[in-house]
Amino acid sequence: MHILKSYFTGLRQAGGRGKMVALLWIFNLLFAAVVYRLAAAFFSQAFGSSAVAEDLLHGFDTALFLEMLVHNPGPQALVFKAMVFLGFLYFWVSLFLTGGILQVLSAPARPEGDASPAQRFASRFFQGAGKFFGRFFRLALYSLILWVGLAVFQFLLYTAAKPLTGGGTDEKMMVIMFWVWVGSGLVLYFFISMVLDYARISIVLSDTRRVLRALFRALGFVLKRLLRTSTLYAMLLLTGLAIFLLYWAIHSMIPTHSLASIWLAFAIGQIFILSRGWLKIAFQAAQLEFYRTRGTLDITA
Amino acid sequence: MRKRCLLLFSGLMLLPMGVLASLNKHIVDYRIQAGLMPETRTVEGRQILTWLNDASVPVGELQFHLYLNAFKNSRSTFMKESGGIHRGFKLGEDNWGYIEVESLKVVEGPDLTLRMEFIQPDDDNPEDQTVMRVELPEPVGPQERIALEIVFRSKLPQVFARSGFHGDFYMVAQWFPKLGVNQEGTWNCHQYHENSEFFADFGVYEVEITVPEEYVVGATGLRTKEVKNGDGTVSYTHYQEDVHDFAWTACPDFVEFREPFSLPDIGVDTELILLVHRQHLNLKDRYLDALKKGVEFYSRSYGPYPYRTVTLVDPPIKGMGAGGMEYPTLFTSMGVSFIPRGVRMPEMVTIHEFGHGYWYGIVGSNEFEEAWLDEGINSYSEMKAMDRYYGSDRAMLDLGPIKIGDAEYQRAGVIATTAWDPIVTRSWEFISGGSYGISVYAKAAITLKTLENWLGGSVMDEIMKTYYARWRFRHPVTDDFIAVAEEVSGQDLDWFFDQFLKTAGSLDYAVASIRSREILEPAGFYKGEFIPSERDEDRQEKDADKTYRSEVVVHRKAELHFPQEILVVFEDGEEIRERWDGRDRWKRFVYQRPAELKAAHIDPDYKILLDIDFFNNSRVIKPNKASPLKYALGLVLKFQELLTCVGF
Repeated sequence: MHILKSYFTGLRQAGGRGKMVALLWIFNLLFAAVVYRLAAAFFSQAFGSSAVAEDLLHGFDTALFLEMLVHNPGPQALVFKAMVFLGFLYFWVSLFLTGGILQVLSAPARPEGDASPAQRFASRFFQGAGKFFGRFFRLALYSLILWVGLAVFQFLLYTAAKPLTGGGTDEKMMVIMFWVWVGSGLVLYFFISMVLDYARISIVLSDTRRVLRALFRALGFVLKRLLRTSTLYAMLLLTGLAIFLLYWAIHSMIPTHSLASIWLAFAIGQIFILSRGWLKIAFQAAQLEFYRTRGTLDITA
Repeated sequence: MRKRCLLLFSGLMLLPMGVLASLNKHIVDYRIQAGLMPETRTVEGRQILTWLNDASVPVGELQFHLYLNAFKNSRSTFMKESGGIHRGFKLGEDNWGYIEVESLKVVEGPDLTLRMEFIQPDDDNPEDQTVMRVELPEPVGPQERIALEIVFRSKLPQVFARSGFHGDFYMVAQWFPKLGVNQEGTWNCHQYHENSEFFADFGVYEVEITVPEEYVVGATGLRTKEVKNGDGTVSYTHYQEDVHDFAWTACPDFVEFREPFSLPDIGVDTELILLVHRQHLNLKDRYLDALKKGVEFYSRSYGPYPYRTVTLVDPPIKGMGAGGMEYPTLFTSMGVSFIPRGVRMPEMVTIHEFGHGYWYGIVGSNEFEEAWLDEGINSYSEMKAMDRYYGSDRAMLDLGPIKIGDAEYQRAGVIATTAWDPIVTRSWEFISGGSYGISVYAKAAITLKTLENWLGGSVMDEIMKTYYARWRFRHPVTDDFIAVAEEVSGQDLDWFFDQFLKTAGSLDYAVASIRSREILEPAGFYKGEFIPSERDEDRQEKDADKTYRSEVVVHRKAELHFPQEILVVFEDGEEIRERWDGRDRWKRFVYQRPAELKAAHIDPDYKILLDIDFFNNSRVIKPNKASPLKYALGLVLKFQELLTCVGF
């Protein structure tokens, strides 16, 4: 029952954090704006003044799209490199924002003071973001141990699977082992992400600078309650999947053949991005609730 | 494994029942006994070869291909050129292959074994042993025959380039001492190169193959005899006339399917034999369906399939180096059990390799010297068959929104590659394997498709039919194809073939600029008086009387030329089609019309597939803002979604 309570608390808390959701969306949009500038210039230059644009407007044409890539190697490389760089940068920004999210979610409700609610939110959010960024940065570095572990495990699994596939001749077994490999990779990825979530929660709640200890504590916490932590995580993941499927169904129904419908599809896309922000907060809030109610004793013990 | 001597000439002329009558003059006659020794990966062979000197001069020596010696060591020309990697497949460590001629003698005549010597007609690489010369004790006169008895041993390599083994799978191809082609006293017998395939004379093959009983065997021609030898081996005899090679395969994991196939209205009556590897039984129906389509397309488009059998071989995943290869009446396809239905590799390879039966098998093109005559014409034929049966926008790939037709796919390869070599280049003289592949396959195919679009489909169909009918069971060269094309079309096509087959240039036409301006009433000091400029309001009142001067400039951007059609579209819907011989660097078209110019398209129907850039073929006055926006926002949205996965 604690799982359900944590899950619904998380959803409810996320629902009441409109400003935080909006803030996450704005950061996402800022990064996307840079890509938009480059991509818009690239596509306009590639086919804006050609009649081909009309064909591409009415449907995706793989052959034409390939041809466009062939004729514009420089601009497409620029867009790609920018996306990689911005993605890397966003990872650290996201880490920074997580500190703010957890600070706000973990702080007790305070009596009205001099500051306006907006000022109080901004102050608490960015204070937390700044305060915990260094610790989360170190945590990210320490987490390399886990990620390397994942890579080693996957490699060993691949090596162990080879004899089962008759050295790559039993195709049925190759398919099975491929999906086992993908499945184990995903499970481990989510497991490590979950451990890191709890490690960050632990750091914020105990306001500790002992990051490595927090990481191991989180690992112990998760392993001791593997079924419950995993169930909660899976419920949140499934919520995200359901939102995605709904978005995908709606988005794919819009025929993007005119300026108005293109903008409409983009606007619906932004609602989805907002929902991802909401889900991120729901993840943190639900796990924070679970950690508080099931984990406090362990921390103090 | 038992070896038995072949009966010589007494049996040579006896045709086994059910084999079609001769369709051509038989230059060679091979009677071979071959035994597979799986434990040593070897084939022990003995052959009686009878050769007819069809030249008008005496011939004093014979030249043989010993193709397997390409895999003898790292110093062969093939290995030097390829580095031991062929089409992405790599030779396993110390899995060399070779052929040893143990003895060679004239039947009932002198032993010539000591006269054998290796020669290197192409590159003077003294370490290459893929061509052997034998000086004869006395010349063979015109229209005389000579019979030789040759004992040989072929050690198969681990398969990475057509021939060889992997596990229990054997693809026994290019495996016996094989005569070159004598052309008026001169031997055309090239070394085995990374990029080259084969060339040989037509004749008769009767081959007895002995293998362990558990092996399922497929081979060129009709199976005429099957004998269990009582020692755990079985011997299969295959016979085929009017072919210029013989290949066979053996594997205990093949499952054999046989199905008769006929097209009574055009006289096709054959048996489809599928040897599908146990791992790929789910592909059987895809292979069979594609093979039926292939037989039907080629038979109806070019001429009825003349042989009684066609065998499709499906290699195992680790034997893919043997895949996608043609031999007379037998070919290897390619597929894996988990390949999605929308990825039509098994279908494309099946149709393509079957098609080689026409342009390599029946029309005996010289693949060493003019590979395009086989690969290019066949890729063109495959493109037409695939697009007809599977859809011109999805024949190759049909995965949700990702779709691509065969012609589109081949063109994509051409436009992505720098044109380094003319299509008509000797195989080993291309700058790289990539240049060879693109030029003789894809570029040649879209060259012919462009010719078809230029001449019209029915004229092109007639050219292909005539070429096939005239050159089947003979050895044409490029000029023979051109002669047929000119004869049937009634046009001088030198301008086309000289450019697109014999030079390495590229073709690119663009609409360089378009503009449209209103022609205003004279203003300023005009004919001795001052006329003030019209006010905007006054001009708008006269809207119906406006006239525009419009200008379209088209540009030949690359070195090659092609006659062009230009479509000019005005805002009032009027369309004008212009013609331009396309030879000058640019041409300007000027119009005075009551409507503004809207767009101009050069080659508006995209008939000239050789044009390397379709994007610059058109230009509009008012750029389309929605389309770039759609793709930019689409990309941005995907990026945003990705960012939410990175963290948020």
